[in-house]
Amino acid sequence: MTTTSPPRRPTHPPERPRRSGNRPSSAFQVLVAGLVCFLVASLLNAQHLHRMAEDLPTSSDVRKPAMTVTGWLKSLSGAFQLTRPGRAIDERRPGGAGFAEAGLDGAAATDTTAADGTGDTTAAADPNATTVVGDPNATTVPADGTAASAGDPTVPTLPAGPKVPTKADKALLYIAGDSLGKDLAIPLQALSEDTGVVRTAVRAEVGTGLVRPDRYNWPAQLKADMASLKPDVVVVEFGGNDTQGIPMPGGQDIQSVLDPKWAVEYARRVGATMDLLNAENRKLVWVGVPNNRDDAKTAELAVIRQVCQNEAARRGIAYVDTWALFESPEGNYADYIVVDGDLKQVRKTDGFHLNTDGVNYLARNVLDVIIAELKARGAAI
Amino acid sequence: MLFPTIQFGIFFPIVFVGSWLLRPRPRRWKLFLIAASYVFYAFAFKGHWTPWQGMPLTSSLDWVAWWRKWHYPALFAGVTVANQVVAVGVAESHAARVRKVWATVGVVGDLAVLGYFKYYNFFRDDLKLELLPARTVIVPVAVSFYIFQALSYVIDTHREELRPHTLIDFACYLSFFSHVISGPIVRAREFLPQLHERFDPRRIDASLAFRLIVAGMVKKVVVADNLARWIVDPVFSNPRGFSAAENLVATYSYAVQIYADFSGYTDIAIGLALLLGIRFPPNFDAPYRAVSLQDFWRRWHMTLSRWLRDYLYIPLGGNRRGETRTYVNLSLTMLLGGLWHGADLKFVLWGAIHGLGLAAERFWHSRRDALGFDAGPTVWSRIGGWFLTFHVVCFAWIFFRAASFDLATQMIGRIASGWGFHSGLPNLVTPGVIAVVVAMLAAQFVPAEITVTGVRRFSRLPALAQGVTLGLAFFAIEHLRPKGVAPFIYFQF
Repeated sequence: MTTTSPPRRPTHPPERPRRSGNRPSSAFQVLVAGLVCFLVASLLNAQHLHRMAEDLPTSSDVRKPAMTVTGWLKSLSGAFQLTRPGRAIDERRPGGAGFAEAGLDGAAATDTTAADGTGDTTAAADPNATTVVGDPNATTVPADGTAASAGDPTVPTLPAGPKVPTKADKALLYIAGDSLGKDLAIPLQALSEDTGVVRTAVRAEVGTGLVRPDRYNWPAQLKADMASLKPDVVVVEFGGNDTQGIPMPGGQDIQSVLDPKWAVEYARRVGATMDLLNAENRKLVWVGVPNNRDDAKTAELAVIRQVCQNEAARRGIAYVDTWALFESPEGNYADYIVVDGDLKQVRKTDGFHLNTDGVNYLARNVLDVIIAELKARGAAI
Repeated sequence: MLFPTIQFGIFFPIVFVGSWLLRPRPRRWKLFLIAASYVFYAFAFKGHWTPWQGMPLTSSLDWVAWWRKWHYPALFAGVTVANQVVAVGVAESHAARVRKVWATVGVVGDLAVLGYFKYYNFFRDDLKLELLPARTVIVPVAVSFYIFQALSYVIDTHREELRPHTLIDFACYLSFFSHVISGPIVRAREFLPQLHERFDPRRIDASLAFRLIVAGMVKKVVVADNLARWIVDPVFSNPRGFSAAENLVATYSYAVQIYADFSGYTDIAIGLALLLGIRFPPNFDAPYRAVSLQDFWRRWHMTLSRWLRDYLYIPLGGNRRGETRTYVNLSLTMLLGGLWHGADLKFVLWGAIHGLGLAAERFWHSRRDALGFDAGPTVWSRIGGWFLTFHVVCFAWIFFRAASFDLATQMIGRIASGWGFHSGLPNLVTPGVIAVVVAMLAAQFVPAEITVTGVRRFSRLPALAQGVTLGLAFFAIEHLRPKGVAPFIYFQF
């Protein structure tokens, strides 16, 4: 290809910057300032950095080296008491819940109250999280994330018999989950509130699940929310982020999702979560995971689907099989499916999450189960 | 790759050192910047992308996976080469008709790429053009931004305001990592001459760059991400579940969030470029102190505004073809500006509100003397203008942010009629939310001299003290932000 050489004099030279009066720096000085900044920030934030390294998926290649390096930093920082300012801020700043060191250094449990300290609550952790309501005074749970049993004395006992929802006394629908749950919550809130007898509360945490309570402790959070909100119907959707190794006490981590031991441990956690949520006159609807465009990921998701289906069936819990709703007629991954007679794209471009049409379709299916439950309770819908 | 991440914290120092070491050798320097920018761009698709994944050297080569991973950088490279060919074709043709044909080919080609990626799904699924095969078209990150810049290169060449540079120069301009994802939309004639300047590595305006980077980080990860979490996301996802006050404050909060998010990104982009000795034009100038919509668009996303003015409004005839045509041109420009954000009724409405508002403003200014209103600006007229402008802008933001047109109308309905409504749940309008929103709006009225003086004093500090100050700033940011880094809002466009 031929190109012309650049003109000697540009026809429109850029406006010269006005002299700012700032003393200029050399590249070396910038480098020194940057290096000092990096050191100061790394030492003062060592605890957060270490936590971020821990939060990486267990299958990540960089997790171990990152944990080693940030572990050194944390030790060094701790030796000079440099973690204290950060810890002090975290303790006084309720909105910093995502980094509260619950269960790590024996510090306070996760606190999700709003940054103004009024006691209002917001979703913890991720900026993509949807706000939840209530007063989740998170309680300490075993390090393996096992949920408390339904008969736990800290969960208040409700009056016998499920509530009959009316317009004056609406049923509370609690929706929780990861990014899939967050997406589902938007149409499900609107559709269920359209019944006139439902109000909603949502807790969604992107990038979370049941295998990494060290990253986000769903069992503790759910237990706290059940106690404070006392919902009548619970819809949860987990699993999309659970295709990773399960950290176990004593370093006996189960690395592969395809390892039979993984399914046993995951079933234990799913079962415990179901027992917690499907109690005290609450109706639990468990929304399953869809398949993935990536075959290897789909093989792992199939394990999760099977476990959840089995555990739900064992307990008589309603299970919405998202996988079956969104697969192709041949049982494969599909971007497009027929919805109400129309061929519609139902997935986001990442080959996993559902797009607006997809979540609307899923929400209608979940709503059917909720309405059946409300009608069974005597609601006039 | 996002700016406020550890990956970028590793990436940038390498680029900084490499760039200044290579700058005395312009060709190598530019090739280095292109390579770094393509790595940055490839990371923009997958945060966990690693260079060896899917590369031909791996033992089990999966061409499909490889292509999936690389076809957008490949598209970007293709657009670069194609536009360079067109620009050279325009410049080397002597006959006006041939030049026009070249330019038309370039513009149509660019718009075809943009149209395919941004509007295929709209035509296939929403307009039911079922002749088009059912397929998932993923919008490549930054396609709008680099296509706009490529268009300006071709059009400016056709207008003889620019001579084409070399392919390396053009590729460096188009791909330069600090503006490739979300702007500012820098014109070729602003950027390209800088590649030929001799820049003294001892004269970097680092203090200004540091201020921009820190301010950008605060805006993005402290203000925008927290407001999103505290009130904007929950209320916009279910307006009927919240009171009128919560809906209203969520609307104001979103106005602040999108400003903090987008201007935060461009502040960081401008600051990073400055550290490498490249100057970018400003993109925001306290837009919420605007006293009219025209004033607002001179302060908001300034580089897009001038792009639309120079390459759409003026070619449409601007204000040279009579009053009625001016109103039509204004409305059409803003409508297309809305469509640029996405093929959705809500973006059309957002653009229409601004377009009609600008037309109405122009009509009012042309008639107010005749109607007997005093044309001179008074304090009260400025306050009234500010109040009205801010609320029109916020009203339009409802359509921009809502996930659907239905949710936008629900929100407006709730603000209009939901004052007695109580969800029975804790109120999201907390003193913290109010404080952040008010502080950010008040900051728009702070005289620039105050920050200029602060930066000047900072520049007098030794490098060590500057580093400690910056380290403390990043420490504070880290502890005031929510966990995780949400993508910048404008990444989707």
